[in-house]
Amino acid sequence: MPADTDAATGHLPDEPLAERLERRVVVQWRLVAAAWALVPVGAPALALALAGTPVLALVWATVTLVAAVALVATAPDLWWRRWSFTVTDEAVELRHGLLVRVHSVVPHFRVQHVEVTRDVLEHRLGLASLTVATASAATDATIPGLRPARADAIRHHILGHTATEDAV
Amino acid sequence: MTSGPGEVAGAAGEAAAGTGASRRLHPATPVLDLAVGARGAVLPFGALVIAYGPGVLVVAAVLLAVVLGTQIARWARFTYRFDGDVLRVEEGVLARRVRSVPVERVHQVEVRARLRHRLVGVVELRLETASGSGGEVTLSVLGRSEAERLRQVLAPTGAATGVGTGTGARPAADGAGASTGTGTATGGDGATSAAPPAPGSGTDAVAAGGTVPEERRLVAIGSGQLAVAGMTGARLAVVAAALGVVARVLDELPRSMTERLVDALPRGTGAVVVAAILAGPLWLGLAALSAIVSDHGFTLDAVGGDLRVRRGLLDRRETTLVRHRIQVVRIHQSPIRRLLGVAAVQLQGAGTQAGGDDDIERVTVPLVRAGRLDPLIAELAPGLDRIPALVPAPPAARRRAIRRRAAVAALIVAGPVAGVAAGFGSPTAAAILLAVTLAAGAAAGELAYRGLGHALAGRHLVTRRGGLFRETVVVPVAKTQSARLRRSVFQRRVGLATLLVDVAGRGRTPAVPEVAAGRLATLQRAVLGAPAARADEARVRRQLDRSALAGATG
Repeated sequence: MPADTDAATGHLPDEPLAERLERRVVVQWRLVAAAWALVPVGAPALALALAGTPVLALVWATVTLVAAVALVATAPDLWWRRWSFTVTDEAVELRHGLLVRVHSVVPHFRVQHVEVTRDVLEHRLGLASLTVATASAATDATIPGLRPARADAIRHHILGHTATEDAV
Repeated sequence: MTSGPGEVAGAAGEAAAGTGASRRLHPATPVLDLAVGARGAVLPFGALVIAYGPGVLVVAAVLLAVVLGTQIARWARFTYRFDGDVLRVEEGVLARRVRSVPVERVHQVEVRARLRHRLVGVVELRLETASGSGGEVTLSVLGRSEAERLRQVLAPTGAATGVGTGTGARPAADGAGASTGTGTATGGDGATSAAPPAPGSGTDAVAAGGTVPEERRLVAIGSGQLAVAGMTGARLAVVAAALGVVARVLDELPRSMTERLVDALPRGTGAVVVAAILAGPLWLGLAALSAIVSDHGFTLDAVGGDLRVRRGLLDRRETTLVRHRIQVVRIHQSPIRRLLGVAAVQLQGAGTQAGGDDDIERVTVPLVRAGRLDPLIAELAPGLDRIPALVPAPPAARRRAIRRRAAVAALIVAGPVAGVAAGFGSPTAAAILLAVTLAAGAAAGELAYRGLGHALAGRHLVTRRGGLFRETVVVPVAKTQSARLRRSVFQRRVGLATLLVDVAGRGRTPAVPEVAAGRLATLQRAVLGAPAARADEARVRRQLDRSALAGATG
């Protein structure tokens, strides 16, 4: 492969993979983001108020609140648009990321175990997360926002393929 | 249940090696553990004796007796057993803990004789496995011959031949384990000495019965070379940091005290010059000394399918690595090292720990001459005869490297430039300062770009980065677990990407940075889909199944 063909292949198509996350996951992300946003909005404002500068506190709170609301309102939706995955007979592939786009590929034959988790929020929203673990700690293969039935189906699919590979 | 006193063979060197009798650690264990624990208590108790009189000593003696009793109980309740496939460790006085380590999971065995161990004639043995958690087993302390026996049965030398070897027949397969076609390449590498007999200082070589594995000396480093390694490597920074701490402490001292210190120093320009002249050699000398102390008598040998590293002046270590479990080989070159034509080579295993006591999982060859690098790489990455010619990064990467570094440099000096322009009313000086900084940033960018390169050579992915401090990384394709293609906003604009190749364990992830995204996407598929990777995984799983079955029946 000569180096001068690089320019021709430099730009990757960004079309989504076969499956998308459940739309409800946006609600989950929004709530989590809102909870996190309380810290940078609230803590300095509280500190400023206690320090006897209520005006500064108010200014800080207003500015950061506007920014936080804007972020919480828009970012989760954009994340969702950028999130897609596919589970083939060979591998699990994920594409996600807004600023830094990641395309992660985990071949089935490397899978050590598959974990389906549901935290409180996910329970309420009827969602589940699936994590594929390999022998590497760096592997990025967590798919959030799945219907529990779909998560289980994916788990069975992956484990089925891992088992076949073993027999080879 | 298995720790009945009748079964325990306390003494080392029992003939019944493979029978799986439970054994205890060396009887010196409780006393040594006590000594280690007591070290920290000596000063406080000394202070108490001075404050309250010798009556404190009675309390100390009682405490000592209690702790010694606990240590003896712990020693008595700690047993291990190796039945040929699984090492079973049982421990705990009140709460019992049983750990089973299948021998096929072991990828590193370290026999370490610290100074205090050498006084008593014992060693510590540590196993590192590729499992997710609790993968490390430490047997501290053992008799020398017992440690040697365990090392020989636990380091699965025959495993390099793969599927052919049954678990029981390991030593017999050792000859064949010296793997694929690297024999000729290494002949020239051992040039320092034509494989002298093992120096026998670390351990007493005890043949474990069966064939003695073939041994070849790959690297031997003398004290002179170690000194060079110390003076050109990371130790310089460590020593500098230590000196920096001293400087900071002086800075923190109350002013009067510092002044008194300064007053005590000889005066005049002559003294300053002498100090300046002495500081450099002192710094280099300390770095050299620290390298010699930690790596004295460094040797790297190929023993069947394994690699064995011996090193250390006071704290002797002998590490055995299973060659086919090496995940990543890294070659480090600082500017001075490049000038001298030397490099350091680091081996990354599938260890469990990210930080902590790193030296168990990473073995570093502190100094290799450039001419011997290729043969050594051929040994460490079988199938790769030399570091191949690398494909340079595309021109877009050069522009990006230059722009990024110039921008960072400009950001750093933005404050001072503004200060010079406003404070001194000298826009010309500010402009010159800015221009010089930008030029320096651009030069750094150009260097960084020239450092970039990658190649897929046979069954290995080779990638290089770094302007001044250059790092070349070799990843066997068979070891990639998963791969991630990353593109930042800025990279996307020019069609570049970075490929992260995930290997087993928690070590640093090798990266192929700044290559055309399309090319990397192809590379990602090629690496993950490689039949070698499939074969590697299948082999590991088969071996695990076998030892699990053997463990269940045993």
